[in-house]
Amino acid sequence: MPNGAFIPDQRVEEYLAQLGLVFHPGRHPGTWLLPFHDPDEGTHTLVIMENGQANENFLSVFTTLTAMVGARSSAEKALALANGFVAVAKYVLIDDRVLVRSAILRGEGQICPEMLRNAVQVVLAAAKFIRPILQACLQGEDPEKAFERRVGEVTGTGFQIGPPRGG
Amino acid sequence: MLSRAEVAEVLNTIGFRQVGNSSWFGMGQEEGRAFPVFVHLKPAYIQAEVHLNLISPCHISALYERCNQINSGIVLGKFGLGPKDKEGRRPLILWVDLPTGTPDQYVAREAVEALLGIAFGLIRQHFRSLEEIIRTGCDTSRPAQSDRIGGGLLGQLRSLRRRGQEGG
Repeated sequence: MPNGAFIPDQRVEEYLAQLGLVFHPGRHPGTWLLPFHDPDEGTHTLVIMENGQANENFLSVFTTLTAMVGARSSAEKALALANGFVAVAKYVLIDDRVLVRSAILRGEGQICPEMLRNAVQVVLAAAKFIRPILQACLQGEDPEKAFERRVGEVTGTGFQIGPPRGG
Repeated sequence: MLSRAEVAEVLNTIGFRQVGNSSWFGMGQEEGRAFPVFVHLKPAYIQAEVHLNLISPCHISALYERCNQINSGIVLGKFGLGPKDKEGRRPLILWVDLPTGTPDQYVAREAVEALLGIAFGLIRQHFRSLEEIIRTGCDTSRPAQSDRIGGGLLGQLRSLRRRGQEGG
């Protein structure tokens, strides 16, 4: 990392404002909450951004999805398949809860506003993609069948999530 | 910060060759084996895709569990299953990717180096355990199905009990 210099929190806020994203301070310094509503899906997604809190080399963007209590094994297969379909965002199952994560190098000179926008956008799109699959897993459906059906839906017409709409 | 064109030039310099509008191909070596590596320069992200030459022929729950275990513990990179081949088998693939900026301010030079460095570091750490899991073979019963079978048996037992109580 050049001179060990990382992007300061204030600059992250400037970038978010520049992108027109609505954000609120999180519980700890260097964390922000970005609420999104998708009127088509009727879903609310709270995206969390943290500037080096979990790993000092990265700015992380993530959201927490469905609890998969009683369907852990199915969920693990669904995530292995979905991780092979969705780029940049990563699905993980931690303590029976699915998280969608993305990360950016946070050194000064390694980060620009559009990276934040793209990271938020992929996390939202990935969350949108996997919700029906997780629901199917919770209902005891075969994860591979649910995955293939979802892929069929989204590679047809209409799976496009535009630039994130804040607030 | 490098432009997209400059990143393409870096890839050409280190031995990758362009194989499409936005993809470059090269071979990497690790663990005494050669791995095909694709680097994709997409509008919103840059991605290294390493084909591990491991094929999952069937349902292997230990493999999905291990992938999740690894993926949960690392910031960049993920192991996952690629598209089915003609025989219905899925390849295990490693992806390391980062969101990018604009074509002019695409990504930092360190990020390009990090993608490939992290990818081969992950292969060094995890390839053998994943290979071993695939070698152990398929599950004898699939969990999702066994859940359903279990549910079905429970349903039948309840129905029998009801009939017993009703004197049927």
